[in-house]
Amino acid sequence: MEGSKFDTIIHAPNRLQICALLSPLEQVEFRVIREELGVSDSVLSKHLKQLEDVGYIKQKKSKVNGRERRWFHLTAKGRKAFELHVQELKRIVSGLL
Amino acid sequence: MTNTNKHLKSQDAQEALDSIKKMENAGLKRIVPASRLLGAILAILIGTQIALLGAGIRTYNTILIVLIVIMTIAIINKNRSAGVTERILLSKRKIFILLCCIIPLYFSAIIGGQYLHSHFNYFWAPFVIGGIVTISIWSLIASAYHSHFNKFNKDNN
Repeated sequence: MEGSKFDTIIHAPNRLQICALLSPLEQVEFRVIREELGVSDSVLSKHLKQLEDVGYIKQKKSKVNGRERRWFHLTAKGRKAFELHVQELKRIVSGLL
Repeated sequence: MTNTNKHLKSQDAQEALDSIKKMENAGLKRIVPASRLLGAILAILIGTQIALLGAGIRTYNTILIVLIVIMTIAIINKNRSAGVTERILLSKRKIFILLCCIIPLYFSAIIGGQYLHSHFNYFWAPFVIGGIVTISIWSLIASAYHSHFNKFNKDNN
C-alpha cells in the first residue's frame, strides 16, 4: 500500500462513481455516465467539469447523424490518482494505519 | 472516540470500495462484444480476397476491399453504439509491432498462393490458404467473444 493517497476531488460519491465507471474502459459517452449515476445533466456536467479542471479526465466530441456526442476518458494523471485513492481506501479498510 | 471515528472511516471506505466495484462492473457490462455474424462475414471477405488474388483473379478485388472497409466500419460503429469502448491494454508500440507482423502475413498468404498456383499448378492452393485465413480470423473473433462472457461469469461467481 505504499504511495497510496486520499484524493478529496475523487472521493465525492458522484465523482468516485464517474472515475470507477471510466477506469476499466477506454471512453464512455455522457448519456451512459448519466444513466449509471442516475443524476441530471447539470449535476453530471458540474462533476465532470471539476474532474476535467484538475486534469483527471478529458472529453472528445463526435457527431453521429448530426447529433453531438461527448465521450469522456481518464487521463494518465487521473488513472494514477484513482489507483492511489483506491489503494488508500483498501488501506483504511484493512486497518493499516 | 478515536475507535468510533476509525470504525466509521473504515465503514465509509468499505462502502466507497463497494460502489467502485459496482460501477466498474456496470461499465464492463455495457461493452458490446464483437458481433460473431459481422466477424464471420469479415473473415470470409478477407479469406476470399486472399484466395482470389492468389489465384490471379482480380475482377472482384475492388468490390471486396470496399466491402471489407464497410464491414470494419460496421463492427466499430456497433461497438461504439453502446456508448462505451473497451480499453485496449496493448501499448502503441505493441500495436505497431502487431501490425508489422500481420501486414507481411497478409501479403505472404497472397504471394504463397500465387507461387503454388503458378509454379506447381496447385490451383486449389490459394483457396486452401484463403480458407485457413478465414478460419484463423473467425477463431480470433470467437475466442474474444467467449473470453468476454467468461470474464463476466467469473466476476458474477
